[in-house]
Amino acid sequence: MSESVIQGSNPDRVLSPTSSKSVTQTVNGSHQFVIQGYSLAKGMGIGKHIASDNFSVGGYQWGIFFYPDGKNPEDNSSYVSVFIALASEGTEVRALFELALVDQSGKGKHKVHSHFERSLDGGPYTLKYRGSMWGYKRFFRRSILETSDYLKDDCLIINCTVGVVVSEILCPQLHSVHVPDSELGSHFGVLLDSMEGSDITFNIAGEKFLAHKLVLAARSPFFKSKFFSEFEANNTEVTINDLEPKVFKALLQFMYKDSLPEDVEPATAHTFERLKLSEIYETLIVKVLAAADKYDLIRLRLLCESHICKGVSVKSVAKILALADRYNAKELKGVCLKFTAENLAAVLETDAYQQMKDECVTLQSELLKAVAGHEEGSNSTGGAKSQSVWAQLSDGGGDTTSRHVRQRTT
Amino acid sequence: MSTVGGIEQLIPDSVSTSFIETVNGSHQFTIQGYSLAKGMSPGKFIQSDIFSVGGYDWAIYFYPDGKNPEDQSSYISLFIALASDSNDIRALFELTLMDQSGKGKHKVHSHFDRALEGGPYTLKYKGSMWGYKRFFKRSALETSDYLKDDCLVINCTVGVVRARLEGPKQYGIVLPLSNMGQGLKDLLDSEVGCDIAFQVGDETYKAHKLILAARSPVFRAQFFGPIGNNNVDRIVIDDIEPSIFKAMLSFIYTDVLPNVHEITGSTSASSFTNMIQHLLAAADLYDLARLKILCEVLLCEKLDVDNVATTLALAEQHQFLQLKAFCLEFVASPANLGAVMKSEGFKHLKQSCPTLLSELLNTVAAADKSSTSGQSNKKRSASSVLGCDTTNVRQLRRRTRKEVRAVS
Repeated sequence: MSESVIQGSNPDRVLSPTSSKSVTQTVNGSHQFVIQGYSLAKGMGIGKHIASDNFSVGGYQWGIFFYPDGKNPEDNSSYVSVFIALASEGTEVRALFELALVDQSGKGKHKVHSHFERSLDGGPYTLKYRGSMWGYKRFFRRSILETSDYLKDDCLIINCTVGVVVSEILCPQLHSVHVPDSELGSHFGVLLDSMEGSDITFNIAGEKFLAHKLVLAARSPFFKSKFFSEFEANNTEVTINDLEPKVFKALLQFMYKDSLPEDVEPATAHTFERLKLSEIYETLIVKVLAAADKYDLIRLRLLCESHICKGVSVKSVAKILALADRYNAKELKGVCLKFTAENLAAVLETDAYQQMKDECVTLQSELLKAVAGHEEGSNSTGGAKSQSVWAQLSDGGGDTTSRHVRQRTT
Repeated sequence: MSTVGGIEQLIPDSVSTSFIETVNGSHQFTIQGYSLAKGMSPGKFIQSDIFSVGGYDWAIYFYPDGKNPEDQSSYISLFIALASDSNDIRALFELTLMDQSGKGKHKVHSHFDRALEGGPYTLKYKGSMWGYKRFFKRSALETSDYLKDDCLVINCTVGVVRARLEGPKQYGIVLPLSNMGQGLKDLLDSEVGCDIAFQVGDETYKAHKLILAARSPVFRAQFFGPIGNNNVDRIVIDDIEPSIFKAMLSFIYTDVLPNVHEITGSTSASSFTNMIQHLLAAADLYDLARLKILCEVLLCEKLDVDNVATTLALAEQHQFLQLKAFCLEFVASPANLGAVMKSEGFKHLKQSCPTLLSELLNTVAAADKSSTSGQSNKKRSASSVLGCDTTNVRQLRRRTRKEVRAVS
């Protein structure tokens, strides 16, 4: 996601003397929701919806809701409704939205409803809590939709863009003030590079690292108790024997700069496919993951998990699953289980899986649960499991007055 | 992601697909002894065994004398019923009476392979049915190839509708926003490891020299510079209000503005602006670049005819050039100029920053050039503005001469 400045009004238009331009800085993200099987979806009832998977924009989760028979009983199923809902916890989230029904004929005559590229008379829309929605009860007249280029091979495509407001400036003329990104990381990075005022020395396998107790205490509960408990407050040197210098250096970089070091290996599918599991355990990123777990650096662990996640493929997923299990990488483990469940036959054929299955019996039972959850939606014969799918399909949830939106694990 | 523009260029960051499909299953129901079954009377049925499709139970109901009394047993009826205790099950159905002669001329009623005008059928609860009261005329049935050796064969197919969601093609982990500031704020709030105390009015605030030095060049010089006092543990601040200093400390530790209303205890707009003006001055004093910009943004948002003059004076004094430009543009607007000149702040501005008046004149002139208003309106507006400014220019000249004499 990148930040962009979007002007709220046409710059060529002459303003009245008392008006001002609205310049909104937003973090934008987009999602495409494909509905295959429209003819089976219609007739499900007014207020019943089909939900997209959740997607992430500006630190919040969002979902698209399509009502084939409309949301409003008064419209008597004459229109289809489309809404965007806030799917994660949040109050007073301000955002801009765009909903587009894609013309599938290739003529490019999409049906677009958008906050972007037009004056925001009332400012961005505010979503008050989880489950709040923006959209249209009368997005399209159904009888026209069913004979239009928007419906092709019983398929509809909806593009959605969300722009979460991060700051808003009302100012005369075209001036705008750019608010720079947070400087905490760079300021403490300067401190790390210069080590002015350092008050602690770490001895890591014979290599010395200078640091500041305060910074480490602010960033890690482990170090906070070590340096500021009543028994060890006066230490000036600490020896750690179970870390390599390059791993500790990565920890320091994270604690001071809030980022991974540059010399971490790039995570590609090929990297994890090529290396043996024992070799993967020796990579810097995996060692940093292990250290993050030990020193209770939650965000560093997530940074490592997110990095390793890029390497997931059919051939590599079994190895990554094993390492996620070993180092308590919960998010990474969830991604691997989901990926495997959706590509089960191919994954089971891989050498990596054959090697893993004997070592990690518990992982296989977790894999079975993930598969059961996945296949529930495709060809289930169990009544209880089907019921939850039906609940998803027919649930009237997501109404403006409702605070609950079903949330999927990513 | 790509820039938002024409929809054709828009490539979504992620895709999810909802597949609405049917899970199909079928059942064959054989009725042996048709001649003994008929005559049961209308509404009486023979039920098949229960079979399962799509996680639900179903059964076929055959009415040899028809379901509807009004038809006087002229037709046989055939229905498929939901046999499990569920609600609002949507499905497609097919009922087939088999041609037992081998010619393949089956009698078929089917949802499959045809356009669904109103979508699938909904069975509301256990016992709901779909089918036909007049499936076949009885007299014709009894002489047809569907009846052989007193036997009827009925095939039934059920397709239960369900949705399957394929998630985003990317397998990613959502990273939360940085919590670096929160860790530092916890230290500030708990006073763990504090080594400096600031006496600000009646309040005392404890902090950490190292963190202050990392964030502010002024504090760095004060605590760690060659001419600074490294051993100081208490500093008296006499030119900043306690609430302002507290807000500045909060920013130093978290890099975000604190909730200003919480600190002032007031929700009025004027006290908010007053607070931000003071916070901006403090940010300038301690060289906190990002805090200065955040304050400038807020002051721009809150500009009005009553506060713009004091904000402009502040911007001039501290050389906040962007804020100054905004204020000048605001004041120069014809609709605002008269009202601003009546405000208390403007009177103070004339005394403290007389050079701003000439800059204001330039801004008004520039605005006039870019104006597209009518000729007569322009003349009237220019006339009134010039009238006011002429007086001020005279005063300015007179004051300048006095100053020159005083110096000499």
